Amino acid sequence: MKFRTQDLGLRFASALLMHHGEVSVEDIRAMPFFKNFDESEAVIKALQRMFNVEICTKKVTAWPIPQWKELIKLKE
Amino acid sequence: MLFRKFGSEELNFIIPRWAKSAATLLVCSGDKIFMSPVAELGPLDPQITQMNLLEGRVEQFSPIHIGSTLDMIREEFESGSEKLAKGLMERLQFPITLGGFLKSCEVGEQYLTKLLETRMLSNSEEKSKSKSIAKRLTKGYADHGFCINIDEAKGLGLEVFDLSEEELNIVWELHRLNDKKRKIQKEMHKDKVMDMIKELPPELLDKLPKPLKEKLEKVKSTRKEEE
Repeated sequence: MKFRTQDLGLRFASALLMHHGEVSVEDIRAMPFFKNFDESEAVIKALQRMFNVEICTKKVTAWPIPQWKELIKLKE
Repeated sequence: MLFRKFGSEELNFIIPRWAKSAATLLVCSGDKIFMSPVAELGPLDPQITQMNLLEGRVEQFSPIHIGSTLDMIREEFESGSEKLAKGLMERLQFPITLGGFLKSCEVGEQYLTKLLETRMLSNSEEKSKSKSIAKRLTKGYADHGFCINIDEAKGLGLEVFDLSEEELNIVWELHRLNDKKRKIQKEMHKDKVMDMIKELPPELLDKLPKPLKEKLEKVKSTRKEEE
């Protein structure tokens, strides 16, 4: 069961990455397919291995507390 | 810094349970600290984590342990086993690295002194107290996990006050509401991701990269074998 849900997570994360050209690390962590933090982290690492990607940050809010989100982005 | 900027009139910190290590530095930047009967502050000695390449393990230590280690070696040289002392010496770090670790205690001490002097102990009579408090918190405790409860904190000279039962109930209620808010936000994020997944074109799920396809096939065949 563990492998099945994690594989599903990897499959959907890959599809999101291919469709939008980028996927947020937080979105992957929020997927309901993982039992714990390690499983989602393994999927994030797998995406980096399987695709030609770069990790970049995008500003979400600027004031009063600036916040950024981490993105996995396909290299052009 | 934001807290200090927006709390222009008075900045108070409430500690229901723990504000140890760096959080102790944070609460010392305000005017007053309110502590529950079970709340704890902690010493400010920096924690150094480094990889021991020879033994292949990660070790964590405090610079205050360097002083006690040097004392131990000195004692062995003077009145114990010289062989043991030499053995311990060989395993010590490069002197400049050791000096750097020891110096890191002073960084915390300087920051704390500065923070205390700008708010909590800003009166000229109290300023002299800040240095002794900072020294005590960075070097005066034997272990980083030492429990500095409300009485100990008062004894140090910090502006610490008791939280009444009524105030504590309000704090717990706020904590509970914040926890609820975080859970709702998490659920909303989950729903947002699921909506994104639902909008994906179905054919895209078949256009997966080769290594992933191979992996999924492998998992599938292993499962079939197991069944």
